[in-house]
Amino acid sequence: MEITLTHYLILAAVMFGLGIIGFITRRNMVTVLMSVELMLNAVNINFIAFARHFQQLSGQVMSLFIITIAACEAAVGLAIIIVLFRSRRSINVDDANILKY
Amino acid sequence: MIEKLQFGMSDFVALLPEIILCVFALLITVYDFMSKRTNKALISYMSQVAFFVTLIATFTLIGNNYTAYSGMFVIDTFAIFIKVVILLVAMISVAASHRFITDEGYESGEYYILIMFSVLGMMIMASATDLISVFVGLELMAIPCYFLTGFFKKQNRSIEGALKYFLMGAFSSAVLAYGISFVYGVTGTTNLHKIAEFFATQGVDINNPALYLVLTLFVAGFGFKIAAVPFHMWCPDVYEGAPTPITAFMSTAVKAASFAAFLRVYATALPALHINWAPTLAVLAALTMTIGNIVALTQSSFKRMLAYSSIAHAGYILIGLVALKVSDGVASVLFYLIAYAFANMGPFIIIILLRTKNSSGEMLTDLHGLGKRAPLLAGIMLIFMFSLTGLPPTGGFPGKYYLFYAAVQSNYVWLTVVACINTAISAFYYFKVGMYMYMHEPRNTEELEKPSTPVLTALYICVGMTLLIGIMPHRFFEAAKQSIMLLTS
Amino acid sequence: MTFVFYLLGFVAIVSSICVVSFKNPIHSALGLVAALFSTAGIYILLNAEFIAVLEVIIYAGAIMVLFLFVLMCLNIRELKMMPQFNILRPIAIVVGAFLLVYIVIIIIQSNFGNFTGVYNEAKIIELGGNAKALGQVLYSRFLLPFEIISILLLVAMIGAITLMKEGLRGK
Repeated sequence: MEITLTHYLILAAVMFGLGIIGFITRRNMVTVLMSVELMLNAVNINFIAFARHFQQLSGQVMSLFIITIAACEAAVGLAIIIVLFRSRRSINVDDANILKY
Repeated sequence: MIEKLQFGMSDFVALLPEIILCVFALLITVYDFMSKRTNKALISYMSQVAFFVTLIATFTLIGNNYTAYSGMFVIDTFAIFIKVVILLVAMISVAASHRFITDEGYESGEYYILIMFSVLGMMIMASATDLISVFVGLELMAIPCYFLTGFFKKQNRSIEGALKYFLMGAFSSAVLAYGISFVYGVTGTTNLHKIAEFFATQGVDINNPALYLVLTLFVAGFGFKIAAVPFHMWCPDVYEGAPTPITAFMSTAVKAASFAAFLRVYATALPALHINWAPTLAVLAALTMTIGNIVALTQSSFKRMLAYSSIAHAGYILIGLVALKVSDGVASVLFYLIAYAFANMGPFIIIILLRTKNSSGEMLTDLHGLGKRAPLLAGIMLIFMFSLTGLPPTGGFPGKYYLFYAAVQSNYVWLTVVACINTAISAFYYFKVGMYMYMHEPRNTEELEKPSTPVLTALYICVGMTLLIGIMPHRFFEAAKQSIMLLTS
Repeated sequence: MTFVFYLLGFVAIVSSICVVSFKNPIHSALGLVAALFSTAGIYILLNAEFIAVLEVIIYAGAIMVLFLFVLMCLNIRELKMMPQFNILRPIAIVVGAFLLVYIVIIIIQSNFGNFTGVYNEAKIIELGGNAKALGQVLYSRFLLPFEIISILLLVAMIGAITLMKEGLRGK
């Protein structure tokens, strides 16, 4: 059986769906972030499969942008997680600060 | 054949306001790293100058109508209208932040730099005519907002709000990107005009389920950004946790930019599918305003109540999108956006002014007896509450009138009825504020700090504009109408 | 070709399941690395060699190293907190699975566009390979988003530094 566009799209859909499942079920923030990465990866497969199907390059360029955005989001997310982790761990030190507001 | 870079003077001119803002932001970043701590206050004024110069540059572009950067970017009156609103909101937010950041112990120039970059993203969103530039503009808008929400990193609720906002934002971006990939799959392009052309020449194949998937993913993706029910759950926590000027900024500027992109995508690329997406959006609008208003009734925190009220207002604005086909549908959205922007910034500025040593000014109990403690502030607050309810002589009244009229014209009478009932519900909690201010004895008798000039100026601009829009709505409505002439053609 | 696709697809799906089901986030991260590697293989099948290389270098390399670095820095056991998503897990899984099946059914029934662009394999070879052709498109038609992305990276950097900076200034 030949591999058609639909095969690639289904593969992407399965990865996207698994990403959604991970996003709504996992409670660990880092894993939730990884689920989002999985979803963006599925989007990339979609774009590249369409680009190949249409014999265009714009789809590939778009996946390039999405990879970059995913990198940004990973950096942002991990920064926020670290700060939250820090403040949780040192929660007693900041008690005075919290009560003020 | 090799694709050649086509970059002419017209491309440069089209992007001029953004380039100016970007150059200013980069220069201020360098200055911030090199300057001493004592000079940080200057950055606030420098960013005001940057916004002002950008505003002038935006105004000089009025009258131009062309696409640039191979169809990625357009300069038209719609974009200019939205950009002016966003820039004004940004200037007011920066003015309202005066002393606020320092008082809370976070003296830092990055605060203003991040606001500037966020505004840059919004301006690109307002002009984007390609789904990919909409998407990158949206990210450039959102990522600084995540940081700004968590800017008070020693406060748990601020950083938790940032995390929640970030996770929801990243999720909705992924959903939106997935939707864009299917648009690309169906039409072979991401350019909004070419998509419209595709549907015009090929016809709409209503049996193609991919189209419904696209519409669902788009509604979900944009719905998260504008906090429409059922995609609103992040909104109250984020708005409550964020620094108050940032809440004001996000609840107006981010919403205006998101609605601009939403509008442009739907009005330019998908009008052929109007019959398929309008009913969904109508239900979404009804749900959004009803749930927003009902939950707002039960809040004890004023800031949180305003968060729910802003959800409800997103519902009202969605009515205009449903009524897109009517001649004044889009114009009523623009009008409502500008009326709402000023009326919604105002109460947040008052929250900032109500801060005292022992209270954050954010609870409804802080408003008790404000009529005696600070009669002027109470009076101004009443005007904002009138406008948010939709009573004359404030901007909210014509805003609601135009929106509801557009809905009636497009045969969505039931939606208008729901919206009217909602206006009545919302009157309860807006008037509750007035009641607390005038009928209750003050609980907190601390002397309010003397407000600084920039904050007061911001407040007066908000109240002045709210009244001005209410007194002569025609001028603004005409401007809104003219600005959308070319959007749907 | 067919066999390679099924192999890579199988690995990608199994490792994606690992990402969302493993308890230990480090195992999840390793699952994600495997998923990204097999996706890179799929990109090669789709004639997107440059993206495949980027996927390995940026995604599987840089981003995942960042993830693992953070996971190693923080004490993982203390990290298990996410109070805002306390939906019942079985219901969430059922809803997610339903959504997945729904999207797959839609994809099978849909008809997607049929266009023939200029960039077929012969054309790409003539232009000097995938990376060169991609670069030409990137620096002409996609110039604006490319510039915006560069600012986006800068902003992410500024923001992360602001957030991580220890201690309060002033006061």
